[in-house]
Amino acid sequence: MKSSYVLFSLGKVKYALRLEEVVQIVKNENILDVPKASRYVIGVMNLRGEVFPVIDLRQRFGLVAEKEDRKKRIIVVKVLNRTFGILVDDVREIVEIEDEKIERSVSSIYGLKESMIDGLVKEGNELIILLNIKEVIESQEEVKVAK
Amino acid sequence: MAVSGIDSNKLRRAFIEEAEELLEKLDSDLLELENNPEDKDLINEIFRVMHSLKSESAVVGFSSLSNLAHKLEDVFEKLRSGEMSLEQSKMDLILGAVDAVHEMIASIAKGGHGEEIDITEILDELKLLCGETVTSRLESKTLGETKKKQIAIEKIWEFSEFELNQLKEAMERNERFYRLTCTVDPESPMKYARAFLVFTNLEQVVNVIKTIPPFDREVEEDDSYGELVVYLTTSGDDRDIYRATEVDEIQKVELIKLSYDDFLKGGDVKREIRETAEKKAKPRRIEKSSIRIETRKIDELWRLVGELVINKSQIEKLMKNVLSNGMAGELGEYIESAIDSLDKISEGIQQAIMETRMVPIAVIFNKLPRLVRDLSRKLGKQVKLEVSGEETEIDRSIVEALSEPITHLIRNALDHGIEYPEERIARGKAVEGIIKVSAYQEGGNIILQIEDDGKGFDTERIREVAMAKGMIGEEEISENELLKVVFNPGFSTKEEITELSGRGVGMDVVANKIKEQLKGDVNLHTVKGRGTRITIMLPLTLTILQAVIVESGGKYYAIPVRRTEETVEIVNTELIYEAEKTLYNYRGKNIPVIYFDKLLGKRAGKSEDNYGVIISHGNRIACLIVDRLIEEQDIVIKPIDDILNENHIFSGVSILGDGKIVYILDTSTILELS
Amino acid sequence: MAVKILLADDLSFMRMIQKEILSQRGYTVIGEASDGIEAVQKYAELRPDVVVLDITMPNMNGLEAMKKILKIDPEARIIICSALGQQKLIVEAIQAGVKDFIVKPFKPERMFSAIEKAMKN
Repeated sequence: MKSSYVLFSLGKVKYALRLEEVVQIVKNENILDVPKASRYVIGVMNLRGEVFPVIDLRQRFGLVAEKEDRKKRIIVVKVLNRTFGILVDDVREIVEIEDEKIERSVSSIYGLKESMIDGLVKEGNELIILLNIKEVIESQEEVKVAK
Repeated sequence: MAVSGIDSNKLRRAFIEEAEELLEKLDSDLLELENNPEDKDLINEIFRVMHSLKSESAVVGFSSLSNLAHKLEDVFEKLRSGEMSLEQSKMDLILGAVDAVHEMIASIAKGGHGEEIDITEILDELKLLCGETVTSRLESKTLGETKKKQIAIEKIWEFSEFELNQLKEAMERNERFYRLTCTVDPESPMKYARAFLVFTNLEQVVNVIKTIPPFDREVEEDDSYGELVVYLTTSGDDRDIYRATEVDEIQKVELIKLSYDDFLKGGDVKREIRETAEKKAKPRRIEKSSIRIETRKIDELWRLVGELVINKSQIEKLMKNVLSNGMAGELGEYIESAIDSLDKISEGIQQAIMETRMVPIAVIFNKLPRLVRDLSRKLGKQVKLEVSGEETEIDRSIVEALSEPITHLIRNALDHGIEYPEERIARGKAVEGIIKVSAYQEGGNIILQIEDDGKGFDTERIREVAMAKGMIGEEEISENELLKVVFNPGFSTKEEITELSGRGVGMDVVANKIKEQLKGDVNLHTVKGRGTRITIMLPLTLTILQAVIVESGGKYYAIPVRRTEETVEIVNTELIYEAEKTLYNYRGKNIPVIYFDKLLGKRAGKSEDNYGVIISHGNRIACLIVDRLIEEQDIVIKPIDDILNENHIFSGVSILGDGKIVYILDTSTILELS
Repeated sequence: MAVKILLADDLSFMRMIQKEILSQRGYTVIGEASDGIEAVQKYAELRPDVVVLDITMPNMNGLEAMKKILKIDPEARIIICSALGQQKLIVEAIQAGVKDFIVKPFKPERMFSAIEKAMKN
């Protein structure tokens, strides 16, 4: 069994989200300020009449917020009927990953709790973290990803 | 038989819609019947419902449901003919069986087949009622098989009035009556055409009364024509019939002579039912002609209208710019009038579609008689339910959410309000308690009232409990304020939880649902010993909102017009500064001032001229200070994710004509914060 | 006496095959037509026992040709030949009085059986 994933990067670490959770990938444009919200919500977006919050994954992971960059992308995800935009450094590609290549029993890595990780994939020297985006969004816990 | 070729989900949906429509009136009809067991019209009406339900569920293949409806039909047939009279014990059995019908339909709606509900016992009891012998479980299984077949045959008996007349005339002409069954080669690529060829050939030599399947449908459903049944009459040679079937690919031909009597007698019964049904249905038909539309489609239209409203204001904005810049030149006038009519048209569409979403509140009210009947019997209380305004229309999405709170309030009235008969006699009240439920429209609101003449709330007891729980302090508070604590979470004066209204949910759940989910208001009025009246105020619709757009800290916000009293221009000197709070004198009364920017956690701007929006919700009122008033306009409410709304001061977001996102203020939370 | 048959089909290949099949069975193909107009002319001229008429033909389709033939001879035995998915046309043909039809692609027996049944009437 193979599944498709959206591969993106944040600093030097590579992450992946299941393609079926992803609605669309859009440019880092037209984000509107929010009056009052948690720290890592940087604004809201209006995509075809749907208004949803945009989360800066850098801030969520306790990394230094980088200056605005036109190369940055927003991955629009839908989890349990809630829509979110996830601001990431760069969307690399969509890849197919064989299920048996995924290491499921993972302990915390780079400071990410295991509940936020769906699995790990080793591609040669590269390591890809499959994120449990629902947990990343919903958990109240502070995250500090090591550099 | 006819199911193939049709999308089975579509069929299921259509069946459920149809069945729910059939059952809607059934409950109240049954209760009415309990009071007037002799009412022939009612019996006929219920018989008709059962009959339709039986046939429809058989067609779709829900045989268990069809069986049950069939047995109920038998019972009503016996009641109709006077062969059986209706006593209380029978009524209870019938109501129980109808409950099972409800359950089965609910289960089918969830994707089941209705077989999940065990009806063996109910069926047995119904059979006993009809004078049938009940076989043991094991035998009844095989019996079920033959029953199924009987239903299938009975479906064939569905002769129309016209066909029955034809049959009668044929009998008078002394023609013979046959049923011809032809089987088409299962390999045949065009069964419809094969069957049609036989039919055409037959028509030339005999009098064809009816064919199953008929030939008036879409040609595409080919497989249903694998077997053709023809009812025909003839005075000619039987060999002509066989000759007509000598068509390629016709494999089996069976010709059976029938008796007119069986059909015409059955037809008499049918005719009678149909006539009464038509009589009953006629006045309704005059009221409204209607077609059925899937709610999904209406919801989609409604969503599109929302987009249209936004788009329209976008165009308006753009054209305003064009016009004020003089870019339009001579065309300006035309553009203005075109926009004017666009405005009117979109408003008209919005109104019309909103009306299609409206359903009469009877949808909820019709369930209440049964509820009151069952509960009062269980409690040993005597209660009369008076319902009015059931024709009042309300948005479908509101109705769905409203059913539970209303049911809960009725349970409360019965359980805690209305006294036991002896208690009522002792207090000099009529033995029978009264619960009144009413609905009416007032402006943009729907008002619902639930009133009982029971013992009322014990305000002293409420005060004690509220104080003990720390919900109120020592100071004197008005009765109005006191009664509000009833809606607080965790408040309940009745210590033991009764089976009826207990289960840990109380008035707080009701209030929460009405305020949060339905954007309404609930109000309690009670007189000790005399009764209680609960008033619920609801908006007509939940998705389009008339709002005042204001600006604060460079951003736009929307305040629902129905929550505002007035907008005022405020000079700082007009404000009254006290130690902890600021007040504003509004119409001779000092009301609290809320600085909106402070609410958002920003420092109050020091601008000289401010504007105030007087907002009110229930008995609370305050003056909300903003930087600027922009305009009043209709906006489409979109949900807001909790992550953006951590202290719940917003109830949603909307997009303005220029693409700006505005937050819609939740005035009730804001007023509570003040 | 051998049954006389008129074949009408716009594809000469189809006519060739049909003719082959029918001759082997002992039928006589007394004429061929490549469109509806020709079929009507040949019918009037040759008066065959059975006409096998393709429903889709240029100039005049099978349905029209059939109606014309039935006007010339109300007793004409006509078998309509059609491809799958033309059920509506077949129904029209039945309403107009066709005696039988066969669906392409067909096995030879289908054609024989249709002709034999037509000859009984």
